[in-house]
Amino acid sequence: MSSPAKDHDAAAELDLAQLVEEQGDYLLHFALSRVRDVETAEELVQETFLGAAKSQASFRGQSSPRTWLTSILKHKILDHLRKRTRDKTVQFEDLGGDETNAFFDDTGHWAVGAVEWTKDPAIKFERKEIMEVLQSCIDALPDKLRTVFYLREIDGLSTGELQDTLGISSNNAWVILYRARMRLRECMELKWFSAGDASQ
Amino acid sequence: MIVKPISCRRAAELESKAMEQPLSTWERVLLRYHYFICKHVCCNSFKNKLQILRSGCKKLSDAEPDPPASSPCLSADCKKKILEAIQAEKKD
Repeated sequence: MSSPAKDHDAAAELDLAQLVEEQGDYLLHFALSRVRDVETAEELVQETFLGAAKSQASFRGQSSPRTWLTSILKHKILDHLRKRTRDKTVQFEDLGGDETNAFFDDTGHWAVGAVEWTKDPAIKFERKEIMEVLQSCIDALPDKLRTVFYLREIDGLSTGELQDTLGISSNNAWVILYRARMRLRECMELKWFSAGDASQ
Repeated sequence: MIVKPISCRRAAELESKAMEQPLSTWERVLLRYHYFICKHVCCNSFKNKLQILRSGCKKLSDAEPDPPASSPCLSADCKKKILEAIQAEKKD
């Protein structure tokens, strides 16, 4: 457990102006992954730093400044998404066409071949390159799929919390996550597992 | 009782649903029966691939990696507004 003096030191050592330079782009990308619109993402980053300035004394130094700022930003993003749901600005219930049709034939059986994943040692995700491919595949998902997938699989929200934040039913959350996973599976196979020199 | 086999597509949907909540007994029966009669390699590996994707996402979440080079940077105007807001907060 940290002492009050140590807590004070950690908070005093935080140079928020420097953190804007060091973490600003990271936070913008984090917000953009979940809200897409640059203007909104920048507003959320601004609110995050303002929130950090107000609660600077609460920084204990037990986590990195990036982790601390990210946790503030996560709350700002969830508040923003809840407000957007209340205002009905974005309808997550409107799922549109099913892009997973292409993976199956008319009888519902697989129309594509299988690519072996487990033989690739990089599958443990300890290499930077495969992490970058995974991130780019998630970022390439259509807006609604990407937002739901990030909130569920990266931020760890439960299906119930998705319902509360985005106003979607459990059933639609399953459908969205299923479609996102199918596309991610395909993207990883195209960009990593089928790429000739990817796992060299 | 005759169990009507489900398609590979339905099996994939159920495997994804199982990542969110336990399946009902009936859904588990349908899935098990599907795997008994279906030998398609995609079906055999699908569940494993979903779990691999989840473990990759967990590592991505923990790693907090720097944004890709193609990602937009915080604009100078936005940085200026943030620094002004921080200064104003310090004065209060």
